[in-house]
Amino acid sequence: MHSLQSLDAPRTVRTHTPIAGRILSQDEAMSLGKRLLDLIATSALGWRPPGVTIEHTVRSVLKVTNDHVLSSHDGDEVSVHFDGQGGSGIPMGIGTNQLDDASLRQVVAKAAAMAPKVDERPPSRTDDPEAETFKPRTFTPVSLWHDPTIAAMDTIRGETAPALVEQIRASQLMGVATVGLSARSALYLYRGGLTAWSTETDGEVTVTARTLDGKTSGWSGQASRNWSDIRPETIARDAIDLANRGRNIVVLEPGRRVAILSATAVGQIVRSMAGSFDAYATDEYQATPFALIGPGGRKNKLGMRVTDARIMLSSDPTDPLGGYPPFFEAGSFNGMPGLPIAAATWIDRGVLKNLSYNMSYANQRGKTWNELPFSMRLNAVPGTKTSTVEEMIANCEDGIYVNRFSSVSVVDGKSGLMTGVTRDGCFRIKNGKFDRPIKNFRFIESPMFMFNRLLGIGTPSRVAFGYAPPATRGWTGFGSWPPTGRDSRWPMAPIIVPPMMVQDFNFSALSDAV
Amino acid sequence: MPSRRDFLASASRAAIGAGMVGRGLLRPSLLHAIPMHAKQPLASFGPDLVDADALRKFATVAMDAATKAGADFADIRIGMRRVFQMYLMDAVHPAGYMAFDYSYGIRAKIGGSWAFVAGAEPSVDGLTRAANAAVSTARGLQKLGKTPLEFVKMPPAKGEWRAEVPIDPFSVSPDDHAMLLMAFSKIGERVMTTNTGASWMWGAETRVFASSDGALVTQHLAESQPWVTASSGRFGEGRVELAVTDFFPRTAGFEVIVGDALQDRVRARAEEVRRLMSYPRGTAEIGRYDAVFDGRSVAAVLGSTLLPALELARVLNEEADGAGTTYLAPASDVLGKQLFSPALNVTTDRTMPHLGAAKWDDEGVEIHPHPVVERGTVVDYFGTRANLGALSDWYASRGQPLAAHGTAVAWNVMRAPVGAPTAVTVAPNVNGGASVEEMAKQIRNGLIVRTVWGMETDQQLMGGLCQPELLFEVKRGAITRRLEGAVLPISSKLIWRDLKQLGNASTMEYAVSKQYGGAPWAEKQAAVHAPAGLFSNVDVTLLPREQI
Repeated sequence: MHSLQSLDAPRTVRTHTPIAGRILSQDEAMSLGKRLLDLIATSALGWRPPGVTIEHTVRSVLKVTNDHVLSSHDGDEVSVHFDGQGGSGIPMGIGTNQLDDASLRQVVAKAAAMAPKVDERPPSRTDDPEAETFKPRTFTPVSLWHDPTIAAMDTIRGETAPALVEQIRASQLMGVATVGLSARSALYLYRGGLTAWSTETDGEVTVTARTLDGKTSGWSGQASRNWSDIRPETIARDAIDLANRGRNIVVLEPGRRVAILSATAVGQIVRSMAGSFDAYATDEYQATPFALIGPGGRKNKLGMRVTDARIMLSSDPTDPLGGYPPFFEAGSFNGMPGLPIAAATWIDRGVLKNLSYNMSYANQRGKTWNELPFSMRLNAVPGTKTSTVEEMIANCEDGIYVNRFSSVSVVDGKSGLMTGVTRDGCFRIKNGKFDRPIKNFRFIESPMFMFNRLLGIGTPSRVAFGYAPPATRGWTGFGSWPPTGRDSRWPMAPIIVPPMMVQDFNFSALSDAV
Repeated sequence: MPSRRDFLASASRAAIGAGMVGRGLLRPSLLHAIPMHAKQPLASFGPDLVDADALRKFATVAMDAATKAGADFADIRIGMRRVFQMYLMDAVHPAGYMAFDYSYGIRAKIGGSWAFVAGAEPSVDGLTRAANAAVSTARGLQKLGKTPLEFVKMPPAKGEWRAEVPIDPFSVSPDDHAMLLMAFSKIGERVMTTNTGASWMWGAETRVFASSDGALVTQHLAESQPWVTASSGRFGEGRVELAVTDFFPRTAGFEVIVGDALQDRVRARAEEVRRLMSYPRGTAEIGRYDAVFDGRSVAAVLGSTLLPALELARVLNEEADGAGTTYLAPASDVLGKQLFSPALNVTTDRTMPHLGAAKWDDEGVEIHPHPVVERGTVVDYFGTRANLGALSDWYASRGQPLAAHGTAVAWNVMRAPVGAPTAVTVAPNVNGGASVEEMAKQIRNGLIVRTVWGMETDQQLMGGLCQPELLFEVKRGAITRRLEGAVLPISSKLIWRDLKQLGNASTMEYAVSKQYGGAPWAEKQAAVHAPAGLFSNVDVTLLPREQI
């Protein structure tokens, strides 16, 4: 047992104040990582070249309503992970959130006791092909850190929150605004020399405004890694405007109709597509819309037209509107944390160009491994005439504008069918104008159908999600803690998409939800 | 050079599972080759636990600091937790994960403003800094608005409580965990065309709650989440996967996954899957039917429709910019009105051995079973001391003092507590209720719904689409076909109104409902225990089947 005396002594290798949002620097993380690596190496724990993961996330999240602060959260979450062994060959991940020397030494020493004795270990892996994998690598330089976001952690309460409260109060609606900021650093360090390091900031503001009778709702949001790009007053104004314009809804029959989907609505659908690009699920289980049994052992639609020829879909860690660390992260689906991932074009001029291969399947198929596209950009092929939402509306004789959906779920992986309910702004468009607000619809639609019925496409922007359950769900309860990797990120990984106008979108039923 | 797979395959059988067999927990015939060397208890491979005195001291230090800094009220949750998970990599090889964390979250209130600061730096300095930061933020936010709601006063709790489990899972060796996991996965091989899979997670935590008004409680919590399934068929080709219902989340130890009887149950489930696969397959017809839902499906639908709708944060629009609001609002239009079938009685119960069992909730309120729906009438919501003040009129109308009932939960201490269901029981029909088969006999032309894993719902929980793992056509009381391609659009308001009958206690099954809430949002889970039910007016529709 620890004694009280020892606990009173200084314990940590870092100093931080949660409010200021300081995170582990590269020097601090490297120093800690090397120290841990030395401990692990001494203990000879690993069944593959020893490696450690260190992640540190600081978050400030504020939620305000008309007349008070609903919640104010300042979180400082750190985690260290490394691989150990139970028995002679059972891989055993180890995680802790205590970084002081004594705690780390103890965690490693105890974990090492679980590993087999030296003469019972599998032969040395130094010449294993896997060892080669963990040698130093080069990474695409990215710029994900923005000082204004860090500075905003100190100002959102004094400046942003009062302005939002005032704006909502003046609207005479019921409003809730969420302001979220995060800073994060991550280090993946292997004894083979592989070193992946990233720092990033992110921010998101969302506002929901509802009429006092609860019959109408409006929502708006913006997300950016750079707080300077976010305009809270515009977000609140747009949400309030949508709620006010949504009064006196009428009921319209469901059915297949022209839909003008805001970038947010498109983003919700695109985000849910990530799993469709899994090569193994496509080839071996025929479980995605890109599966195809064809001549010569063909198992997928690579090289075939799958969407309208104006569509490009890609993932790029250097994307100026978002980007992401250029390596696999903890919790990655298809690769070892810390290994580089390159930019990928998934769909080029409507043709399926790439699928996401895990390491072993990539080797088997002679492909390059890549992560599932959790972060994506969808844009029109260069030279395509794009339209603004206003122009789409002006060109629409009879259709429906969708501001946003409730959470979108995949109901049939094979066809990519998804479902959800329109939310926070749904309007009939008639003769080139907003006609009137309409009752919400449930939709059942596959993006693969939708992207083949394109009537118009806009300019992409990064969309905010606000509340959005993780795209992938792992262990629950205690097991999801300490949080790591991609699923622990909030705001969500960037999705950069344009608004779209599509034909025959399947509004399958009316919904009573507001 | 042998690969890892080669190594596993050729490893010695020596000493495999001697402990498990010796203790009568596993049949020798289920043993097979995996390398076994880590025979010491799991606990010996983790860092020493911090003693409860240290946690209490830190909690007291933080509360003293918050009070000194000027907080009207403050509370803290500080915990040291260990988690062990085991699963099958590539569906074949066992792999594990052990995690340890030592964290805290401090909430401080000044006037009407709350601030929450979470950290993982357990030292006097770290705790004092965090407490001061929370108070300072709350003070800064005070000018933003009026006092929202009165914080419900409860007597300050004091004491210590332990979730007693017969076999501490951390007293079992990693090797025995791995061996049992593999044994379950092998049972399916003995039933033609079926597979069985297993994974589990164990948690243990010493958590201290303290508040500036003098509460100080220490709890030794435990969590067990075993998961064993039986399946048959390929994905996309009529595959069926059913959970073995004896394995479900609760507060328990290793004893819940060992013993001959459980192995027999797994095998029986595998045989049941094979039998169910043999029914002729057909396409459902769009329509409206009477339907029997098995216990798991009743629990899953309740966990997606009714339970989150009873979260007070949704009623009060606190989640309007997040998970959404609720159709069960405003409270004055809901409480005391019979909205659902009189057969429906729902109780929140976090006492042993339910999931999240504790003596006090995460606001220091003593936990006791508490009804939220009685004979189809909503009688309470899931709230916290911070928002239950909204129900003061309702409590007064019933002649009861306004009180919290132990429904505040922080799944980890680094999140502020929220009012949410954690463990919920739907009472079975105690007046000679029927089995699934007996209820099905009452159906002339209808359905049996088996195993709803979860359900997509809209922002106000008005309804959603339900996709059962198995759907059977019933004609004149007997199953005729297995139906495919169907989804059930469910209206939250109507389904519980149209509940005609609940099954008897033998039909009770568990489902875990996962919802998200808070800011930043975090996962909340509830173990729902419910009997089978017979419903009328269940809609069936078909997914569009267009070619891309």
